[in-house]
Order: sequence, then C-alpha cells, then structure tokens
Amino acid sequence: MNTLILRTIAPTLTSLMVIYSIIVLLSGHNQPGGGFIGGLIAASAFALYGIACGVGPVRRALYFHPIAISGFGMLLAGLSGVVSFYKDVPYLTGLWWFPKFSGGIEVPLSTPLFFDIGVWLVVVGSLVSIALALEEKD
Amino acid sequence: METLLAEGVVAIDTTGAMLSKATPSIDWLIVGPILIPLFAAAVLIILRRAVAWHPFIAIAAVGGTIATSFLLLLRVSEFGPQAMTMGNWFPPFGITFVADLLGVILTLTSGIAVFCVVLYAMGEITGRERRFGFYALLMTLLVGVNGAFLTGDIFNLYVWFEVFLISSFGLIVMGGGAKQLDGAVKYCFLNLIATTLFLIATGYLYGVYGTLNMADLSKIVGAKPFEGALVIISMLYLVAFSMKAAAFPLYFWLPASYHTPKIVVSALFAGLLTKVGIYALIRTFTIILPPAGDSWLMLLMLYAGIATMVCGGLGAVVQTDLRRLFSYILVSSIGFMLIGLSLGTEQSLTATMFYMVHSILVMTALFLLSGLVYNYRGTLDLRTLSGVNKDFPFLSLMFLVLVFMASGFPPFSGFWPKLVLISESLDKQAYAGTCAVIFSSFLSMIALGRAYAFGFWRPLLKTSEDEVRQTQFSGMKSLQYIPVLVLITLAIVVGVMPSYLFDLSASGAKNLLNSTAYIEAVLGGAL
Amino acid sequence: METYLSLIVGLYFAASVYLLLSESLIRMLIGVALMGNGVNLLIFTAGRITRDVPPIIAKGAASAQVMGDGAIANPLPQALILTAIVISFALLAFVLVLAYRAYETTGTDDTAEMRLSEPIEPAHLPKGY
Repeated sequence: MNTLILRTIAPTLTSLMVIYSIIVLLSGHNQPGGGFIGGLIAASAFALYGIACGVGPVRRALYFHPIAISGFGMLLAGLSGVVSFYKDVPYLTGLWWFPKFSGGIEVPLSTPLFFDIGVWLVVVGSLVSIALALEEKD
Repeated sequence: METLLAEGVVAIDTTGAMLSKATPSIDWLIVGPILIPLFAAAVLIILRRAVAWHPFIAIAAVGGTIATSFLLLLRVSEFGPQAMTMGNWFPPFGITFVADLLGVILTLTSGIAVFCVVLYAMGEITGRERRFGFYALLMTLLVGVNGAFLTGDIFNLYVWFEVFLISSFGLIVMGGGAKQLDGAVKYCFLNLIATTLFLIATGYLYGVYGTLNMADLSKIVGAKPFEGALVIISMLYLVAFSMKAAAFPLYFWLPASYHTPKIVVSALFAGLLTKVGIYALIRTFTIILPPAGDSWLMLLMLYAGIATMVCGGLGAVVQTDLRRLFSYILVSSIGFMLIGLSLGTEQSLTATMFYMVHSILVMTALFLLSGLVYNYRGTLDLRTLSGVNKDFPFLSLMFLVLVFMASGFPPFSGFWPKLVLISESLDKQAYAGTCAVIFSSFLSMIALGRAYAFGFWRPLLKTSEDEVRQTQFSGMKSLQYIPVLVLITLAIVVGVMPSYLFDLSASGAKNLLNSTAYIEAVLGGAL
Repeated sequence: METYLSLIVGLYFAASVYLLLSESLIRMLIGVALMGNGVNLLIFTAGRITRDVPPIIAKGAASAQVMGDGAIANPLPQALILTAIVISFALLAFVLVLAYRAYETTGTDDTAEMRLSEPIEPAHLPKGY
C-alpha cells in the first residue's frame, strides 16, 4: 500500500476529507449529515493517512490521544444538554442563538450543534484509535 | 442554509409538540445519577495518563451520585414518582426519565455498592489497568445501571443495558488470563443473546402497540386480555430478562464466569448486574405489561424461581472454590426475587424490593471479602484454604456475620423479606414456593457453613504452610477492610431497623401494582 | 410486503439459532451477527412499510393530514435500527476479538473443550479435618 502515488496524494486527500466531514457535520441539523456520519468520514481520512504515511505522523498530527479526543467529545455532548438548566427546560432541550456580526451575517448557534460536535469527536476518537491500533500491528 | 434556519425552521410553531411548562431545577435530580458518572467517565478518559487522580475523581463522582440519589429518594418518597422528558418533547415521543421508589432505592443502593468497590479498588488496581480505563469503565457501568433504573422508555432501557454490557465486557477481560478469557466468552455470548432477545421483544412490542414509552404502554396494554401477541411479547421478555438475571434454565453462564475476573470486578457484577435483570422483570410485569401479571406466565415464573433457588443452593453445596460458591448463592437469591415477583401481591413485591437491597449489599460484601482472604492466603480453594480464623480473627468474624446474613438469620437483613415472603406464599397457597425458600436457606447455610468450617475455622494445613508464609503479609492492605465493613454495617442497620426500608418498599410496591401515579407523573404534563 | 419481510426475518432467526447451537465459536459469532441483522429487519417491518412518502411535513399542513395511518413513512424504526446497528456493531467487534484471543490462549474454538473456568474433574471437600 505504501506507494509513491498514495503517499503524494494522501495529505491533500486527507485534508479534503476532513474539510468535507466538517461541512457534513455543520449541515447536519436540517440536511442529511450530522456528527456520526461526519465523524466516520474524518476517521476514514485519518485511517487513510495512517496507511499512506504510517501511524506515527497521524498521532503527531492529531496531537491528542484519540481516546482523549473521544472523552472530550463525550463531555461536550453531555454538557451541551446542561445549558438548558439555565433556561428552566429539561435536559437536552434544543436552544438557539442568532448572534449578528458586522455586515449583517447571522450565525445560528444551537445546543444540538454542540451535541453533534461532541458526537463527531467521539466517533473520530474511538474509530481512529481502533484504526491506528490495527495499522500498528502490520 | 442560514436563511433556511432563520425563516423556516425556527419560525415553526412547536407548541403542539413540546411541553410549555417550565422545568423546576429540582427535577434535575432525576438525571443527576446518570449525568454525574457520565461526566466523570469523560473526564477520566481525557485524563487517562493522570492515573494518580483516577480513584479520587471516581470517589467524588460516586459520592455525588449517592447524594443526588438520596435527595431524589427523599423527594420521591414525599411527592410520588417524578418525571423529566428529554428535549422537552411530548412524553410518548420524547424519552422520559422517571424516578419511582423502586428505581430510586436501587439507584441509591447500587451507588453505595459502587462506592465501596471504588474504595476497595484503590489498593487493587495497578497504574496500567487504570490507563486501560478501569475507572472510566466503572463509571460507564454505573451510568448504564442507573440509566436502566431511571428510564421510562423501553427502547432506552435496551440502550442502557448495552451501555453497562459494553462496560462489563471491558471489565471482565481486564487482566486477561486464559481462565478469565474462557469465562468472559461465556458471559459475553450469553448476555449478547439475551439483549438481542430483549430487542426482538421490543420490536414486536412496537409493532403491535406503536409506542415504547412505559407509561403510555401501561395505559394502552393495561386493559387488554392476556392473549395473542401479548403472550409472545411477555414470554420473550421473560426469557430475555431471566437470562440477564440468571434464572433457572438460563443461569449457567453466571457460575461459569463470575469467579474468573478480578475480585473487584466480580464483586461489582454480583452486586449490580443480575439485579438489573430482576429490576427489568419487575418493571415489565407490573407497569408495562400488567395483564401478564396475573396469568399462567406467573406460574411459570414461580416454578422457574423455585428451581433457581433449589439449584443455586444445591450448586453451592458442592463447590470448592469460594467465589463459585458465592456465585451459586447469588443464583439462589435471584430465585427468591423471582418467587416474590411471581406471587404478585403487594407484600411479596415489598419483600422482593427489600431483598434486592439486601442482596446488593451482602453479595458485594461477600465477594470483596473473598478478595481480602485471597490477599492473605493466595488461594480461594476450600481444599487448601485454612487457618484464617486463627491468624485474622476479625476477617473471620466478618465472614461469619455475612454467612448469617446471606442465609437469612434473624436479626440480619436477609431474614425479614424471607419471613414476609413465606407468610405471603402460605396465604397464596403457593406451598412449593414456601418450601423452596426454606429449603434453599437451609442449603445456603450448609454451603456457607462448610466454607467457614473449612476455609476459616480449620487449623492451618501443613501442606499449604510454606506458600502461606510467603503470601501472608505481602498483600497486607488493611484499608481494604473499610469498604467491606461499610457494607456489613449498612446491612446490619437494615436488618436491625427494617421498618424504614419496609415502609419505602411497601409504598414502592403499591405504586408498582397501581400504575396511576406513574402514568400521571409521565403523561400528566401532556394531557 | 410486511408478510414477505416477516418470512425473511424468520429465516434469519432460524439460521442464527442453527448456528448458535453449534459448538464452534466462530459459527456462534456468525449466528449472533445474523440474529442482530434479523432484529433490525424485524423492527423495520414492525414500523410498517410505506413507499415514497418521506416523513417531512410541509409547512402549514394540518395535523390530521399527516398523522393518518400510512400517510408518511414511519421515521422512528430507522432511528431505533440505527441505534441497534451501532451498538451491535460495537459488541460484535468486541466479541470477535475476544473469541480470537480465547482461541489463541486456549488453543481451541470448540466450546465443549473450553472448560478452563469450569474444570470437569470432580472436586470434593474432605469429609473432616
């Protein structure tokens, strides 16, 4: 698998896939997509990078240990529901903000978005750790 | 994209789909026992390298869980069942969490059991195992168990079952000797099949009644006769949960696997996991499918319970490994709970709930105590184990007290539920049940008495003297006495002053048999 | 349509029970996997099959119009199945690794020979001290 072609294209392909996975993640609330699918795409991107360039560069590129990333995702997803404590609504109720920036750009932010980001991190973290563990064996 | 959100979605009128009533902050107690260990698990995973902190994070989290469960118990015993519907959607659609007395009592007791296990594990679990995620798995197991006790949605119950199942898989292989892997294979396969059966039953339930909310189901199914699809669904639930709870024809995985993992892990499993199966049975056959509660199915359950009690007792008598012996005692106690549920009266359900609390405390204590014995003697085989009483009289005394508790001697905690259940089964003319309870208590007494006589009271064997001298003080961790002592003390308190727990169990049983309060708590806001 | 799917579900379960009754671990694994797939199909069927009507409610549609039987496809079973698939995938992956490790350490995948945790030879306590 460690061919010159794959090694050359892998960094570009990986970055494209990660960007695409983020697009899928962000469009998830109203269109097909979401944290789980986005996470799968990103995880396969890192797995591909691992196949092409070895496990070490992936671990260095991720900086944090994949399992720690998924732990952080769990925390983020859980905490996104706690925001509703301050609004007197039950756990995990979707709450929205529409902060306006200069130039009339409105960015919709919501607790489901943060929940989804948490799911994305959990999926990326756990699948990358499995993939890297399998790739390390070879 | 932005315009779509700004115009379309947000403008949608959700008043018809969402609850408009404000949720008081106190309702957050309902999700507390799930969220606190969940966050702790996340933090433990993030800080996986800071192994020195792990036990303290876990202790703080379990302490917080116990505190919220206790507050929730106070609230539930005063105001009746409490409910919180996730995401604010109308209850049959949104997932509801319901705290009723049965769930909260079990949440509190399992919190205490886990607390003692965490304390015990401080001296037992190495840094490598902590990095592997021992405490994180422990926390997710607690999340799963508490979630199962508090959820009001049957598919959600399945999800929580899987959460603690995955955590228990991780825990049971930790360490990984050949014997342990062999036991883990049996444990994993059987539990995997049991949860799949649970899912099959849930699929049918949804196909027939179109809802998964327990209160909604109770309302819909409550008036139906026990026939047709309902029989199949009830039967599937009975088989699936009996498998999880280790009832008569399906208990063989338990004595095959519970003696193989690390002692803290088997103590945790013995205390909590089978009780979740029993809890699910109680929930299913009182609240969710009440028509099954007075049918021939209960007679089947009665005989399964009788067979479980007798087989557990007989199995315990022939064992030579201390932990396998305890496993059979555990199986026999499961039979007791099944008999209590199958009689289906208020008194018998009270006895069952009381016995569940007793069983969680005593079983965890028994297994942890076997760990202490192992630390001193390096073996749990009753053929070579000897002389504990002379060298460690206090340990021996604790075991003797636990023997009395587990076999139901007055004034200890095992006696009262047995007394109630015996009188109740005589009233219901289920004489076989009466005989089984008495006979199996007798067998437990013989089995545990023999264990005491051989392992503890017998003078030190000459053959084992050499190895004993080596292991005698190497594992000296006197701090590990504390969790066992805490559990025994609690069990003694429960036994000497049974009226508090009895009153709680009685009103819990009343709520189970008359589900109006439960339905009102869940669907009240939606109607 | 539901009838045919039910028959297929039945076939799945029959095959998986047959495989689970075998003594070889790997066959049992395949049996568990088949059973998981059968359950997913079962839940899908239990939600009733509706063609070509995605569960998206048009703006301003009256609730009676969309809540009728078969008016829209039922989205809930798909959510349930997705959950079940993810969970059973994780469990199956774990059990697969476990079975492989057990095979490595015990040297057999025959469940009848895996008796390490329950030794066959009878062990008795002595009659006295």
